[in-house]
Amino acid sequence: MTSPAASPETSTDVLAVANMPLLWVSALGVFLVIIVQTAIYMKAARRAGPGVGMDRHDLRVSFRSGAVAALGPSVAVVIVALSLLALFGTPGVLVRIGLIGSVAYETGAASIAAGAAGAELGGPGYTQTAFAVAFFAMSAGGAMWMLATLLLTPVLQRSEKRIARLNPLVLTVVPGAALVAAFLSLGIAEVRISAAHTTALVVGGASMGLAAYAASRLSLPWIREWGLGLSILSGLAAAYVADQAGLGLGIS
Amino acid sequence: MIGNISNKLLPSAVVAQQNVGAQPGTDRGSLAASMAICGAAVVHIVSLVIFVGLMGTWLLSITPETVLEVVRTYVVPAVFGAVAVQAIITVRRLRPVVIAFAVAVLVQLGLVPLMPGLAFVATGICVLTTILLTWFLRPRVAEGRAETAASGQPQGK
Repeated sequence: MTSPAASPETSTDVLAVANMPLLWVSALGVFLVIIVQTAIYMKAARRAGPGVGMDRHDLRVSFRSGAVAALGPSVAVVIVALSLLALFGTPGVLVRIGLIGSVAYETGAASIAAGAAGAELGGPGYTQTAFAVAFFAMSAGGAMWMLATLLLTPVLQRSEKRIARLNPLVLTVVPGAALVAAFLSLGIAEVRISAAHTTALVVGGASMGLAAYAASRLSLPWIREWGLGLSILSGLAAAYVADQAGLGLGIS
Repeated sequence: MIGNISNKLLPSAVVAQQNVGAQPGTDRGSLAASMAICGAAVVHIVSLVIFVGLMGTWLLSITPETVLEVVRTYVVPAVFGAVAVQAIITVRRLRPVVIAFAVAVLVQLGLVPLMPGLAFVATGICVLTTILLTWFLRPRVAEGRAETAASGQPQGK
């Protein structure tokens, strides 16, 4: 045991743990799997192409169109990922936000798990131990998600029709309402911490609403893709101003 | 595997099918879609490695501690605000949103301050209560119409 000041239960230097080499290796492993998967698909497509009237040129055009169409969304994901680096470290963000899972789910799981460990994400109690608990919850949740998708999809497809016949509301509105409740609850919990947290919450939400409105009004779908990243940034900026005005935890 | 971008893969597949003149649902169409998805995956991975992996690590090392502290402290409410509104927009119905909002405010700002022990099950309470209330407070009139429409279908078969 080292001195208490450096123990994982008290140290708030989360990034020292979050950026450790083992996590980098794991993150690279996930990247490798996806790269290999992509290579296999492309090889198979090249082999099957001539049989269905797709020559090399058509394949290349398809590949390039997909790549170009993904540019905007990818950069949008990058902004969101960058804003969470300070919280989860680079390898964690790369895998959990960038590749598998989603910002909404991961932050929710991490927040609940950190709460169970008696800490707030990014708060004064967010120690190395709290990070480990939160990160474990994200990973375990992500693994369960994959398992559930694999195992339950066929089962649900069968029962979906039956439920839909019984009452369409169960399938359409109730899951949506549950999601809204989860994120509103997690968000409103932040109101208890400080007025600057409330500012971040309200400005983040308002920007998202504005982005969605602008996207449908001006029919510019790219605004919707960028909405999340931009909303988080404007929420942060507003929180900074509020914090400096003495409404927050007082960051000097 | 690339779960996070799957919803963004669909548009790239559609664009690719248009560009090579392939019909969706045919073999040509699905080949074009797979190639497009590969292209999208490559772009996504490259941008993550460059902008988050390399540049992000560098950004973290040069960002002043004050800014890092601001981000660390306030990024969570900013994310939840944005994500909650995103979820609200997806639902597109007033009633469940009002129910969810009322429940969340009551639980988080009413119940939890009274019983701090409930803090970490509070979100679970909100979700369950909202599900039950959405179900029991559903609009009966519209549902009656939906039921007749639904029951009419099997008879028609």
